[in-house]
Amino acid sequence: MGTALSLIPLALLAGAALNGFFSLWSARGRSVSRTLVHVVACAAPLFAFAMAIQVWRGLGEAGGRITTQWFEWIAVGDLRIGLDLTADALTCVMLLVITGIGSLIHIYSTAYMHEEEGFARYFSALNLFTFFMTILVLGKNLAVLFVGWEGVGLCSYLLIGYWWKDSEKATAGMKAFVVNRVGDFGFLIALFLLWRTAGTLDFAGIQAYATSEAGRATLLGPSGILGASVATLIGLLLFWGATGKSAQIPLYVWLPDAMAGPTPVSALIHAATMVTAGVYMVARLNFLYALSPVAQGTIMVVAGVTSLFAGVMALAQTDIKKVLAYSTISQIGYMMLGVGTGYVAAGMFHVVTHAFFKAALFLGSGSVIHACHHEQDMRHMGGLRKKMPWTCAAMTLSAAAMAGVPPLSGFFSKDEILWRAFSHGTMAGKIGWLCGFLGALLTAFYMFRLIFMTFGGSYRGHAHPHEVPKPMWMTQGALALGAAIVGFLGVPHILGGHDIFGHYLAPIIPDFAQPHAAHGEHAIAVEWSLMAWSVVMGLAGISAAWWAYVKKPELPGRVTAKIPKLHALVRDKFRVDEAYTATVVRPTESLARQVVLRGVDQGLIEGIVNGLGSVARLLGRVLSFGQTGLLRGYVGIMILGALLLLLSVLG
Amino acid sequence: MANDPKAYLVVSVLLFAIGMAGFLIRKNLLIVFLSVELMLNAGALAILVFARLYGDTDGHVFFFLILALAAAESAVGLSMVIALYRLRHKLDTDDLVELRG
Repeated sequence: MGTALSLIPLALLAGAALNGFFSLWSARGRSVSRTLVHVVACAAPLFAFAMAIQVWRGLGEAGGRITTQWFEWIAVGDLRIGLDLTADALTCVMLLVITGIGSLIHIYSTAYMHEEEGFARYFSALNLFTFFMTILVLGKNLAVLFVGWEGVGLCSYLLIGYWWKDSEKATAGMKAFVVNRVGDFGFLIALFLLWRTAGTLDFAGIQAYATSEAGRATLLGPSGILGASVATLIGLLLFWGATGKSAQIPLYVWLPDAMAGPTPVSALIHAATMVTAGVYMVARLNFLYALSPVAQGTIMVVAGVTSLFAGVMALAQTDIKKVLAYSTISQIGYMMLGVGTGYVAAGMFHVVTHAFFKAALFLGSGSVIHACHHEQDMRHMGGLRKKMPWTCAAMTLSAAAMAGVPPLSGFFSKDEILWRAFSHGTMAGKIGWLCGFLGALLTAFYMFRLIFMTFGGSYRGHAHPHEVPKPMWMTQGALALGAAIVGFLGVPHILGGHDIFGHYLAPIIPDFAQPHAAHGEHAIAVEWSLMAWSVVMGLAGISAAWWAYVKKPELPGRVTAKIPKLHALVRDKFRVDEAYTATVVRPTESLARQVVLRGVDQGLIEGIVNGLGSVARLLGRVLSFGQTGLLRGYVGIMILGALLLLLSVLG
Repeated sequence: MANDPKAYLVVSVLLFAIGMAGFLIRKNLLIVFLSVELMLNAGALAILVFARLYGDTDGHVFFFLILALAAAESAVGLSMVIALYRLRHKLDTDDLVELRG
């Protein structure tokens, strides 16, 4: 079983290496078979998927945990870090999503990247990304997780800047990288703190420490910083890292720009997998967060506000991919809200369902963009329903799933999250719930705004749209189908289901107890009414979108004309980017230029270096008086020296 | 006195002093070179004297080494002096100051 586990990342790494070789080969001007690259690129994740299924099936026999140790990676003093992989229920969920949905997106890419020259480079990076993503979820300790964490960031950078000749796209890649580095700073400090506190970075070791009497006391004890406990400090620093990778307030700004990459990349990296790494990390360390209500509350509030805030920004976007980007930020907010409640199965379930419907939506938007000859503005689309029936069906189904229409997947996962947040019993939980509840209305509205603007009405562009090739509509159809049915894995008890997903993850959740048990019938009534209300919100959002974009198409224009300033503010994404430029980027730049460049580099360092140089030159000029070139002078001095030596020996 | 090695030592010192003085005072490169040879041989003589004084044959061996070396060195040195003369048509050390700093 350990072999199957090792083969998952190794197969992907081999695929990346082979395609990297093909890429270098073609860069030298030699021709590379497209088919060969496609076969390698798709075989790697498909094989990994098969192995993941094997690991998943063998998990029960192995006692819920499969571990394989590669080698000792770092050995310094007391610090022993092995490159060890492990799989438990949580890892299996992530592995199946990454390799399964990853395979579909690889297949889709073969058709989507049909016209591109650098296809080998693209598939190499895509394989490499999948490799790092599996390393991230397979890591037995936080250090290996961090390797994956940084690796996926690198691949994200490479793929956002895939069309690097366009400087705007290259800049978007750099922005993603730099913003993520800001988050990584917090993450690293958290790792140091954890190492100093618990003496290990191993997940099992940290858990053992956190549940031991002494460890618990230390973690709950004061950290000496702002009165926070050690657990709170570590939890918040880790969440800081998560806000970068998972695009939460305040570090979400890179994700909309990341849409500069090819659309399948947006589907795989910036919707289905990488951006959920932060959610996975919080879920993985749930035992740590359980010790810190403050950190959990912070997560719930930040996540809730993010989901609402990003939903509002999605309302006024006209670029089809930007709408999806903001909706992704919003949906990750829901996931974070779910894992923030401590009942991580809720958040993880949304990770799975979101992976299906958002990947399908992104692939669908890729098909639309492909069909409209690289047009991304929805104002120049419309009426594609008849021209692209398959794409239309897949996207509508996924949008409905995301809007929470029962019995599609989003309905189950979102309601689970909202109910858990509502019944968390804290102020933060209530705030998170309220934001998520209002966000549900926005979600339904902006998603169906997208659907109606793209597929409804009549065509407003100048291209000749046509249905996309088979590999494209079939993969997006498969994902949409998944989005429709995967929700049945998590049917709650009150609807007669068994919450298979929740029970599957039960071994990694410390307090699996259903809140029902404590609150009885009252809680059941609350769950019912919450569910009903969020369905109402979803349907209201869809109806409103239908009203505004199908029934009365002139309505949005009239509304925005009445509130031009507000509309401009939302359309310009609340000018957060501009605010960051003014408050962070500019001061940093001027600090770099005025203080570091002029002051330290040109002033201090060049001063020292040039000073030493001129001292040496002055000394040389003085001493050069002795170098007369006269033989007799030298000999005289030499003899004088010999005499002095003689005198000192004799005397 | 004739068998007193110390007398030879005095000769050696005198030879060395003459060489040194010649080196310092004369300007003709040929004479300067001659003075160097004088000093070298004064040193060699001193080694021989000490070898006699201590009754050690190592000094004699050394003397032959120095003799061979001096022959080789004077061959090289003289050829350089000749080359210089061909170039400059004069051998005044006060004029050879190209290496002044």
